[in-house]
Amino acid sequence: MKTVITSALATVLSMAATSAAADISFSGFGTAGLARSDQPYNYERFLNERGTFKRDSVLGVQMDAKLSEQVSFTLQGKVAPSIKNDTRIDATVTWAFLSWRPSNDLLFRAGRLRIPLYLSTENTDVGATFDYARLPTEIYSNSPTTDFDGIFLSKTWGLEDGELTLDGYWGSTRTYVRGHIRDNMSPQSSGASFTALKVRAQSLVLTYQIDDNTFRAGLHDAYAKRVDGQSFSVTYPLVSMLPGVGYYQVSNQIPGPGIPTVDEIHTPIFTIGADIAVGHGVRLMGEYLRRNIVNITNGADTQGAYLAARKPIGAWTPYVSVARLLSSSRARNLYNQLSGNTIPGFLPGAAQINASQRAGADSIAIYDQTTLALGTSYRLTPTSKIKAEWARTKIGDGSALVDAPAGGDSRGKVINVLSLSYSFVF
Amino acid sequence: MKTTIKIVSLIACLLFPNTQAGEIIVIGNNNVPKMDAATVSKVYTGKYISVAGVSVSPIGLKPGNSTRNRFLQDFLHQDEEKYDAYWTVRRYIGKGTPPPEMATTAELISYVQATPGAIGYLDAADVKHGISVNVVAKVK
Repeated sequence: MKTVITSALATVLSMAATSAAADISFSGFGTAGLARSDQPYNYERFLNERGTFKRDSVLGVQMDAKLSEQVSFTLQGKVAPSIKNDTRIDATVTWAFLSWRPSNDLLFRAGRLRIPLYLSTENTDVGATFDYARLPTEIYSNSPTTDFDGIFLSKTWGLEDGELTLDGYWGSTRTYVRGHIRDNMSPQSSGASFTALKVRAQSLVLTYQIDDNTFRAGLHDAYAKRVDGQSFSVTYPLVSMLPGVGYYQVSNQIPGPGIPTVDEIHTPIFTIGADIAVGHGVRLMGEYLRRNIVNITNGADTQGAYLAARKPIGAWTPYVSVARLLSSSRARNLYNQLSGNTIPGFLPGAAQINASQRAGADSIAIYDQTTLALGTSYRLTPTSKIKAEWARTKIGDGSALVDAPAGGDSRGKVINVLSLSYSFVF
Repeated sequence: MKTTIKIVSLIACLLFPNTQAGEIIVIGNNNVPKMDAATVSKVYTGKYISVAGVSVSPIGLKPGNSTRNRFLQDFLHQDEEKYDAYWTVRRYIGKGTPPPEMATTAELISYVQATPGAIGYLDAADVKHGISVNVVAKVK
C-alpha cells in the first residue's frame, strides 16, 4: 500500500504542477494535552499519577489538491504515540485518497481514509473541531484503528426536510492490538505486548442531517487475522482433576483436551448515534456501539454507550458526559473464573497451572467500566481552544484499559483523571 | 465581445430590475445559470458542485470584509465564526476545502468574468458604471 500511496502522491503532484487549474492548500492541526491520574498504574496505556503528554498529544498536516471541480486528492499525516509500541512516537500517513465527485449527490473515494465508525471518527485527531477534552474512551477505543485502505462510496438524497447520506466502504488495514500481562511467568514476562493483525471490513452507514442535527446508524462487518499466521483461541476448556477441583487449559503446554482455535475472528459491529439541539442552547450527543465477536469467547465482545450534554456560553462550552463499556457476560465469567482459580499445591504441576490461570485471564480483553466526566472548552480564537476535564472511572469486574499491577487486578478500581489541553488548526 | 457584454447586461437588468446599491448580489460567469438563495448556500457549503448541469466554483472575499459578512448572513444565515467552524470540520472529515478568497471586489469580478463556472458575491454598489455582470442570484 505504501508503494501505491507514494505512486499516487507522485502522480497527483505532477498533475498539480502541470495543471493551471490545480488548487493546492495546506493546513495543519495539533493538540498538546497533559493528563494525570491519581493511580500509580497505567490507564489508557500512558496515564498514571506522574502525568503524561502521550495520551492526548498529536500533530498533523494535511494537503488538499483540487485537480478539477470533480477530482481532488487529500493527504494527511500525523505524529503521535505509536500504535505498535508504548515508547515510540511514529509519523504515519492517515489519509491518502483520491476523490471523484461526478455529481452533487455522488462521491467516490479510493485510497486510505477513515471509516465513519463513530460520529467524530474522521476528525478525532483534530481537537479544535469539538469541545470535549477527550471523546469518550468507552466508545472511541473500540477499534484499534479506523484508517482503512479501500474504496468508499457516498450517495446523498436531498429531502424536503434535511438530507440523507448513505456511505459504504470496502477495505483492509494492518493494525495492532495491545495486551498486558500482570505477572512474570517464564517464558512470558509481565508488561505490554502488541499483536499485528490484518483486518478486512465493509460497511454501510446511514446519516440523516437536518439543520444542525445529525443522526447516524451503521453496520460494519470486520474479519481479523494474525499477521504471524497464528490462530486465536476460542475458549479455554475446563480440565477436571478431582471433584470440584480443576483448571482451565490456557496453553497447549498444559495437559488437557487441547484449545479450540480459529484462524480468523469475525466481528459484526452495529452503531447508532446522534448530535442534536434540545433547546436553550443545549446540545446532546450520544452513541451506542455493539461489537459482537461471533466465533470466540476470548475476545472483546462488548457494548458501549455514552451521553454528553454541552452548552456554549460565550467562549466557554461546559459539558458533562456519562459513558459505559461492558463485555459480554460469558467473557466476564470466564475472566473471573480464571482470575480466581487455583488448585491445591500438592497436585502435580500445581505451581505452573496456578500461575497460568491469571495469565490466561489477562489474555481475555474484558471491559466493565463507567466514566463520569465534567469539563469545558474555552475558545481562544476561531482556530484554537483550551480544554480542561475531570473524569472519574469506576471499574467493575475488570478493564483491559488498565495495566493492573503484578499480583493484583483492576477489579473495583476507581481512577480520577485531570486533563488539560490546547488544540489548534492552521 | 462587446455585443455579448451588452446583451448580458441587458438580461441582468431585465431579470433583476430592482437591483439596488447596498444589496448583496451573486454574480457568475456567463455560463452560470440563475439560482435561488438556497442553491447559493449549498454551493458555498460544498454540497453542490454543479447547478443545472453546469460545474460551478464559488469564490469569496477575505475574512473581515463587510460584504462577506453580509453575504454569510443573507445567503447562508451564518456568521464568520460558524462558517469557519463548518469548513474546518468539513476539511478534516475529508469533504473538501472552503472557496478560494479574493482580496478585492475588482479582483473577484475579473476572476468571475474570466473563469467558466465561477461565481462570487459583491455589493451591488461596487459594480461600476459601464461594467456588466451576470447577476445569478440575490436575496428575495
